[in-house]
Amino acid sequence: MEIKFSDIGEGVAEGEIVRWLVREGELVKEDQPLVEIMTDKVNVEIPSPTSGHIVKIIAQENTRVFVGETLVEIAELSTRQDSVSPKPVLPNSEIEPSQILASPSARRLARDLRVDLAKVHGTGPGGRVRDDDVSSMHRLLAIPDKMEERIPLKGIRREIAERMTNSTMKTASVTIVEEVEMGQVLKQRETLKESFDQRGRKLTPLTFIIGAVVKALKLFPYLNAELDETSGDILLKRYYNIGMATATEKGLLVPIIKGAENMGPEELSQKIEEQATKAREGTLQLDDVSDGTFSVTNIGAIGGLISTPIINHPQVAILAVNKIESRPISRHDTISIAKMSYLSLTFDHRVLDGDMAARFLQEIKRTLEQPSLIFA
Amino acid sequence: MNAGSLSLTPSKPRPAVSSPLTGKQLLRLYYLMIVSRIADERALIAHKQGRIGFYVPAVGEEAAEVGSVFALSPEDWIFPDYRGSGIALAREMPLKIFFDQVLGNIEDVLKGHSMPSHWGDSSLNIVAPSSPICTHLSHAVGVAWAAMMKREKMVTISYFGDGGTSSGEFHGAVNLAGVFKIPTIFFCRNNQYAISVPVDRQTAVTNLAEKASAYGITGVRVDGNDVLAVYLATKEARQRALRGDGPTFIEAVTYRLGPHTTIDDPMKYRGKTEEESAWKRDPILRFSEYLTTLGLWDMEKDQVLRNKIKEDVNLAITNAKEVPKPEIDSLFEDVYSTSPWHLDEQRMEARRFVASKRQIQ
Amino acid sequence: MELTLVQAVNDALREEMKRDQRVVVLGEDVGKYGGVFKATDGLQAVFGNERVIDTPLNEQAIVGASIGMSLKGLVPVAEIQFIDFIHPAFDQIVSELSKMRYRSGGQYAPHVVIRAPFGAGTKGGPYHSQSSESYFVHTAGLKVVIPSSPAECKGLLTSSIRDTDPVIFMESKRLYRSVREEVPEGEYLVPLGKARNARPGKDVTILTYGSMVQVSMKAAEVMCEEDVDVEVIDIRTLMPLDIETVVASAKKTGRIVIVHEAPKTMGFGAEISALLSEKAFDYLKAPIIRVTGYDTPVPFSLEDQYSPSPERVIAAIRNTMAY
Repeated sequence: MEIKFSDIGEGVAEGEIVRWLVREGELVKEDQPLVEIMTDKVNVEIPSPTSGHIVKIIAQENTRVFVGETLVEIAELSTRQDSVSPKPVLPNSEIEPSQILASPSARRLARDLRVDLAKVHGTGPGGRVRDDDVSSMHRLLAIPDKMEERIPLKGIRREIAERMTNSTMKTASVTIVEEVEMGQVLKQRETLKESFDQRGRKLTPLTFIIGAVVKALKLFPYLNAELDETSGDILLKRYYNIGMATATEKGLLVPIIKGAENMGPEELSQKIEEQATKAREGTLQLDDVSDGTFSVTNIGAIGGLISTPIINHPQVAILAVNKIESRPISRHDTISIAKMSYLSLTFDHRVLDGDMAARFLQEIKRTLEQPSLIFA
Repeated sequence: MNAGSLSLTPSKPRPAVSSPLTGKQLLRLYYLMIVSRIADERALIAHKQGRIGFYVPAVGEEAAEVGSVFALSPEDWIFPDYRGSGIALAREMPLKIFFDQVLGNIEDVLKGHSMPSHWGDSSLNIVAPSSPICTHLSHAVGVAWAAMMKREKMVTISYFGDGGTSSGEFHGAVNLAGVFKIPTIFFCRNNQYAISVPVDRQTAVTNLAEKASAYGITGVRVDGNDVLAVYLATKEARQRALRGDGPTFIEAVTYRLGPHTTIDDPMKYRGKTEEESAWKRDPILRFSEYLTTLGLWDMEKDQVLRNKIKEDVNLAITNAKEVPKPEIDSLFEDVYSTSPWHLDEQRMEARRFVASKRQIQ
Repeated sequence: MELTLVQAVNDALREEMKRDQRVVVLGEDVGKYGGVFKATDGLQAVFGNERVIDTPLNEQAIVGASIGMSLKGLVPVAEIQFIDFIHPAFDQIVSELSKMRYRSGGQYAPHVVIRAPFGAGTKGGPYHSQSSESYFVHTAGLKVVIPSSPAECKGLLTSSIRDTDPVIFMESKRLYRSVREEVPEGEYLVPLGKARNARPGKDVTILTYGSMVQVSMKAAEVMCEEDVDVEVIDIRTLMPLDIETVVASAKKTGRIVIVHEAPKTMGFGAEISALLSEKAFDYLKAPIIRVTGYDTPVPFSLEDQYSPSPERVIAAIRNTMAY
C-alpha cells in the first residue's frame, strides 16, 4: 500500500520531510507515527493508516512533498490467520543507531549537529561514543567549508522567504510612522501588574496595543480586510483575528489571537502568553495560525527606532511597535521627558489611501495615550 | 473516683422535678436525637440503593452524642471520631453540609478530600477527623493547652470508642493531659464493640472509667442511653476543666445498635436476641416516654415530627447527589499552603487526562 | 559570631521565641536540662516553663499536642530526641500532621516544626544513627529540611519556623559540634525550596545534603589534583526539591554522583536519579551513581565503614569520568 501525503486541511499544499520515525523493514502498527512533516503552518506527525512492514521510504528527509505524493510503501499485514506474512525487507543501514554504544548526551549532540553516529569513532571504554567524539567528527566534516558555509533554505525559513517575496510583489505597500507617548500604558500596566502577578499572569504592553488596534479597526474596517484578486472585490471582515509576530528558534511565526474583540485585558494577556508559548515550544496547531485579519509586530522589545514591516498578505496592513524609550518632547512649549515610541503602519495602497491610514494611526495613538479607554 | 455516681436507673426516667433543663430544651434534645437517628437510617437505606458509597451510623448512641454536645458552649472545640452523626447534628450542622460531606461533592466543605462520615467544619468548631484510632485525643489536649496558656475560657472534647482505650495514642494523650491539668474531656462511648471484638477483649477492667485513676484524673461512668445523665456528666466535666481541676474521662455505657459501618454485618459476631434486648434500651424510646410522662409529648406529635424530618433528610440526600463531583484541580489543593512545582506538574497531567475524552473501556 | 551547629539551633530558637510569642518548644529533657544535645540550653530560663516544656516520655503525645497547639494559634517546635525515636509518632506525622490540611479542605492546617538529630558518625549503632528522611519526603504534606552547616542551620530553621506548612527539620549529629563557622547575628533567613551551589564546577555534579556536603567537598578538593572540576550542590530542602538548580547542574556537567547517608534502596538518591532521567536524560554522559549508606541497619563497631567517606565519593567520581 502506498501511503500518500494527504490533504491535512487548512489549505496546506506542501511540506518538507523533517525526519522519518520508522526505518525500512520495520513493523509498524496502525496509528503509529511514521514521519514528521513540516508545513508552512505547523509540524505534523503522519500516523500509519495500517499495520505492516515498511517496504520503501520514497520521500527522503529534507525534501519537499506535495499533497497527493507518495511518502512510503507499506506491506500490509494480512488479517487472515492462515496467510503467510510478507518477509520483512532488511534495512539499508548496516548498523542500527540503537546498537551504537553512546551516552544520551552524545546522541543528543549528534542529533543537533546532524552527525551520523554510525560514522563516529568512539574513544570511550568499549568504543563508546562520547560528546568529544561527536564534536571532533563535526569539526572534521566542517573543515572544507571553513570560509563560507552553505545552509539550505528550508522549512520555516524558506516559507518566510516565499511569503515575504510574494507580499512585496503583490501589494502596493506604503509605510507611515507616528509617534506615541507610552507613559500612560506603562502606568496602567504597573497598576494592574500586582493583581496579575498574584495569579501568575504576565501583563505586557502588547495587551494594550492589541486592544487599541482592535478598537481602531472597528472604526476603520478597510484595514481589517482582504483584496479578493480573482473577483476584484474588497472583503471587509467583521471579526478581529490579530496575528502577533513571534520570534522563535526556527524563525518568525505569527500565531493568531482569535476573536480579540471579545476579550478583556485578562483574557487577552493570557491568550497572548499562551500563543507565544505555543510558538516557542513548536506546538501551534493549524487553527492557531490561520485566518488572521491584521498583524502586529513588536520589534521594539529588541531595539530599532523605526521599521517598515511587510504586510502579511492577504491581510492589508501591519503595525510595528518600535522601541519604547525616554525622549525629550515639547509639551505646552516646554521640554519634558516622556516614554516615547514610534508606531509604523504598512498598508496596501490598493485597498485604502494614506489619509485613512493616517487617521487609523491617529486613533491608535489617541487610545494608547488614554489607555483607560481601551477596554472601556 | 466518681464512677457510677451520675448514672440514672437504667429503665425509668427521673421524675420531672429534677430535670436540669427547661421543657423547650428537653424538646430540642429530643429533636436532635431524632434527626441523628433518621439521618442514619435514611443513609443506610440510601447505601443499599446505591446512592451513598459508605456511611458510619451511630444508631443507639444518640443520647451519648447529643447529650454531651448539648452541655458544651459554641466556643468549645469538638474532636469527633468517625462515628459522629449525632455530634455534628447536635452542633446544628445543616443537613445540606452534612450530606454534601457524605457524597463528597463540589460543595462539601472538606472538598471531597475526606471519607464519608468524617464530618468537620471550622465554623462549628468541629475538627475534621481522621480514621486512625485516638490520634485526635492529643490534638484536643494541645488545643486546650494553648487555650489555657492564652487564658481563654474554653474546653475541648474528644470522642472515641471502647476499643480506642487500648491504643497507645489514648495512653499518651490522657497521661499528658493529666500531668498538665489540661481543660479537656475524654468522652468514651462504650458501645460494647470494636467492630466485632467485645469490650471484655479490650481490657481486663470491668469499668473503663477506672482507667482514669491511673492517670490521676477524674473518671465518670454514666448511663450512655440516658441523655440527661450524659448531659449532666459532661456539664460537670466542663466546669471541672474550667475551674482548673483538669481533664475528665467519661465512659458513656451504651450499645451500637447498627453495624460498625455499611460494610459490616453484626450477625457474624452477635446474636439477634442480644440486639433485640438492646433495642429495649433504645435511648430515643426511653426519652420519648419520659417526655410523654412530663406531658410534653405524644404519639401524634412524634409521627408528625418524624415524617417532617424524614422528608428533609431525603431531600438533602437527593440534592447532595445531584451536586457534581469536585473539579480535578481540587485533588491537588490543601496539600501545602502553596502548590510546589511537582504538584503543579501533576495537576497539569491530571487535567490533560480529564480533558481527553478517550477512555479505555 | 562563630557558632557550632547545635549553638546555631539554639540561636535560631532564641531569636524566633523573642520575635514571636506564639513559638513554644516542647519535648523530652528540653527544659531544665536544655536537651540531651543542649540544643535548647538556657531557653527555659529566659522564656519560662510555659513556653519551654518538658513533656512526658511519649513521642506521639508530643507531636499530637503540638498539632493541637498549632490549631489554636501557637507555633510549636517539638524536639524528638533522636530521629530513631520518632517512629512511635509515625501515625501522628503520617496520618495527622501531613494530612490534616488536606482532609479538612484547608480548614485546619497545623503549623509545626519537628526537630530531630539524625545520622551516623557518633557511634550510635542501630538506634541512634539512622537517617530516616525518605519516609517523610514520601509523605505528601510534609516539608523536609536538612542543613549542612551552622549558618545554614540558623537560616533554614528560622524559615522552617515561619513556614506555615509542617516541617521535619533533621540535624546531623556529626555536625553538631565538629564545625564552627561565622553565623549572622539577629534575624537570619535562608529560604526553603532553594538548593545551594556549595562549589561550582563543570565536570561532575555531586548532589548531597547534611553532613555529606562536607564529605563531598573533601572529595572535590582531591579531584582538583586530577584536573576534575567538581560541582557540589547542597540540596538543603528535600521537599520541596529545587528541581531547577538540580537539573541545570546536571545539564551543565552531564555526570552525576548522589551522596547520602541513608540506605540506598528507595533512598532520596533514587528519586533524584529518576527525576534526572525524566528531565535531563539527553544531557547525561554517564549513568547516575549513588554513594550511600548500605542497605543494613547501622552497625555499632563499623559505623565509619557504613557511612560514605571521601574515598568512596572519589571512586564514584573517577568511575563517572572514565565512562
